[in-house]
Amino acid sequence: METIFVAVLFLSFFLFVFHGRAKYYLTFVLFAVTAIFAVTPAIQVIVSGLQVPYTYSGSLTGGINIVLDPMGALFICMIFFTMLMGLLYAPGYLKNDHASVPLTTRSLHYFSYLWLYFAMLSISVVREGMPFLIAWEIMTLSSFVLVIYYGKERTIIQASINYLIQMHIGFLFLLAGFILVEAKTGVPGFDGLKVYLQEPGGQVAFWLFFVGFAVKAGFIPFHTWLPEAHPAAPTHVSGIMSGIMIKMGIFGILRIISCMSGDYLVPGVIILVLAVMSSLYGVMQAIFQHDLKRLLAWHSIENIGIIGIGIGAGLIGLGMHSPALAFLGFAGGILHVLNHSLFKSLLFFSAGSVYAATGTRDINLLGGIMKKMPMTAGLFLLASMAISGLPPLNGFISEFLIFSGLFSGLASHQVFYIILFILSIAGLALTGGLAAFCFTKAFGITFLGNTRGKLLHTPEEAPVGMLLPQFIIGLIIVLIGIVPMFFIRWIGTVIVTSFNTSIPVDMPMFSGRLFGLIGMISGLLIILTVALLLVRKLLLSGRSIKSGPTWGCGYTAGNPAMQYTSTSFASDYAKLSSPLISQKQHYQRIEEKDIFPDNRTYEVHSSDGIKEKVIDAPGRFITGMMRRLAVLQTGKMHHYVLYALLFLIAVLILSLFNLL
Amino acid sequence: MYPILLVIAGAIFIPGFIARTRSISAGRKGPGMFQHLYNVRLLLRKGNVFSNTSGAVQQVAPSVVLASVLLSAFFIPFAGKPGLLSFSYDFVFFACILGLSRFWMIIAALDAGSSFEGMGASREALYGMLAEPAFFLLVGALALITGHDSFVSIFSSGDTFNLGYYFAALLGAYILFNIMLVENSRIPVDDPRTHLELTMIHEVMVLDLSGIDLAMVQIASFLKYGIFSSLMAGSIIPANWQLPVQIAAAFGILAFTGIAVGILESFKARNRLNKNFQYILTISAIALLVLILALLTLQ
Repeated sequence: METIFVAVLFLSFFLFVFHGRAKYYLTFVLFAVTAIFAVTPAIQVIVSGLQVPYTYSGSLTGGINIVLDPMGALFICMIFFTMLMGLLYAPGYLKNDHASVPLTTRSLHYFSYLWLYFAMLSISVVREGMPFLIAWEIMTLSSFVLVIYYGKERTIIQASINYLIQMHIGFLFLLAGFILVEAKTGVPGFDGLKVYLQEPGGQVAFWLFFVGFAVKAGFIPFHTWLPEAHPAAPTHVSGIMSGIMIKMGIFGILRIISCMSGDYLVPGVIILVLAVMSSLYGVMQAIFQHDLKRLLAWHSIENIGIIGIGIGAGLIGLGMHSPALAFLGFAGGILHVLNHSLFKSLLFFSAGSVYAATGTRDINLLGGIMKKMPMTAGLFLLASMAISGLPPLNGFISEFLIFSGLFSGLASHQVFYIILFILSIAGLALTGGLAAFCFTKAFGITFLGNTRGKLLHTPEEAPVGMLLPQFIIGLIIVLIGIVPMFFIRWIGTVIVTSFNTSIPVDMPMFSGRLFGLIGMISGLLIILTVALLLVRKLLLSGRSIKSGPTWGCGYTAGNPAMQYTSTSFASDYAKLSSPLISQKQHYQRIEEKDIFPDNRTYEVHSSDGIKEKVIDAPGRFITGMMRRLAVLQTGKMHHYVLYALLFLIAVLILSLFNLL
Repeated sequence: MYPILLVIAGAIFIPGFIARTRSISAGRKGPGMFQHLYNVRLLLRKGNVFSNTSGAVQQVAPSVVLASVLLSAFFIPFAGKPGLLSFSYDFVFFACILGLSRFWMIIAALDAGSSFEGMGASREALYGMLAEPAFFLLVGALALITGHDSFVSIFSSGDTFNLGYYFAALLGAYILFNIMLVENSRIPVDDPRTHLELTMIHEVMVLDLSGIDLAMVQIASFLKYGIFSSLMAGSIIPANWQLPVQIAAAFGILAFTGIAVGILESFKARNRLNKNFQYILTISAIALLVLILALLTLQ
């Protein structure tokens, strides 16, 4: 098995040699070979619930401890699935720019795609610090290369560099965490963390790790790279980054939680509060966006928040010795990781198809696309409903689990936690409402009505190659909604083996009966809808069906530009949320003297206050300091020789007084 | 079985009560008790006229709306009897399924590509979103007081005569009444009788629906009266009363709901639209009050 992996790594370099389709096929073969050897044991582990320890003994690396546990196995399955769908989608999307992108860039793209895949698979299984950090760094670098694919545009380079720097700040925290743990306990990696956390004062390492992982996951206030990097990347890359790569941050957080053995309450409360804030802030910002991909990127922050609410509730449940709360919280959080990887990649893929077909991502210019691209529109609608947490789809199941967990926590008889849970419930409910608001907007303005702007070319339905992965994802979204019990059972295995908890069998919720019932009701909803549609069709048959222009309330000269746009749809909301999020308007006022005003443009942008305070202000401060220091850099050689001389004199004096 | 009958009775009688109350208080002869049913029957017999702009979404949406509202009616318990569907935390499902119907109403309105319908859709989305936390806060508070986790168990635990619960239940009924006004877009949130599309919410969203589609949306809206007033009945009526008394009381509450909406509409003007935020947020604030009450009874 080891030789195969080494061979795959080696063969991946041949991507630079092959041309044309062969390049893609080689990528696919290497991907598939790795998948066979990674996913097969992963599925066995999830089904059996047993850990598989393994020592990799490479000649260069020495022995590396590898443990395939159910949680890692679950993530391996998700990584495989999401990246496979991305790989299926990619050639159709990249076809449009065959001419403009050099061949090496494309080779590098597929090469990084594979290495991102290898890195994430490794992260799921390695336990020691050094290999973990190396894999983590490869993940960052390869995703950076993926993001910068269209690297000619200034904004894209800026976003990618921003991403790279922030990832390395996160990396520093992880590095510090691993060093601290190994220095204190002498045991490397996560096993050392387990030992370290048992001692009093072990919280420091926990928070170092937490911040490191939170940067990757995109919790606020560490989220600022996310809404920049996702729109910059090619769409299939945004899909896998949002779908699975940021979840490696969640994986890391789950990993350090599984190393804990007590003191669950404080981290739980902090994570819960941070998560509620992330989910609300993410969705509140998302509503303002009219760049489709940026909107989706903000929703990733929201969904990371929802996942975090589940995890936080689960932690508090562990702390309060309430198996129901712990199980429901973790199950909801982890199921939402899976769900989000499905509907978010589907949303990105279908948004990418729209971009490929129309040449714009600005939804204020779009509209009426559904008639031209019915399949893409239908898939986007399906994913929109799922992400808004509506039955009968998968997003509802995970949100239901989290809601149930929070409601079951109300029985804790501790006022502080009751208030915390109730506010989280209200926050989660509000998030759901806001998400529905945002996605009725995103779907309605993009796909319905009439086209608002002038498009580069008339949109056409995406080719089969791009639609196929989307249909597969859509199918699983519906499956989780209708037969949730199977998925919850697998996740139950993960929870029981990873965290110090058991499935509370005494509650009727966990016999599988409840989720069987919920799945049945979801099915009933679909049947009822279809039945009503049939009745409607039956009644309408033979009656007059006419069509005419949209009723303009007496106004007969309506045109597409008068439709509601993304900005006007959100304008009432903008007034309401103005104390928290301000909008900047760029336009030239029409003066009194302008009797015949010429062409004008009007732009609105929401501003991210957190980014301004956390990233921009310190950035400006550091730049300012550097600028002052730059006085020394005169560009004259004799000055630099003088500096060297001064340095030598300083060393001489210091050593004379024995100060060195 | 009979909880659903109560919902249907509400759907049949409440719109009639509203119309009669309004006619009587305005001194008009007005339409009869069942005029709305005749109107729906008329619509069901008609053909269909749809907009050139709209597509599949507007064709499918009315069926989705009616199906989800129908399904949510199955969750309503009465007199200690669970609804057809009842399980732990069923109220989450209930709220989400109403959210589904709202989602489809909004995209159906956007499908016609009309600026007016876009306006209505935007408002509906915003108000629906604001009303969501109020319901969850209320249910959370009631669950906290009673220590139960489903509609039927929460409502039927009112039989141990508990002053705290009772007060919370009364406030809860008030909140549910207000959520009903928001959901069905009645005065003071929206005025269904207005003839100026600029100030409409719900009525403007259905401008391009006709015939059977319009009928389905209207039936869904009638059912929502039944659903929310049955919930009000469930939370107020003590479960240890005799069954006939409970049924009589429930019908009393249905009638009261209709008459109250009618009186409200006769004597109150619609809010200015930008006041609606405050109005809906006040509902959430009252729900918070119920929560504080619940915390007090806990001690």
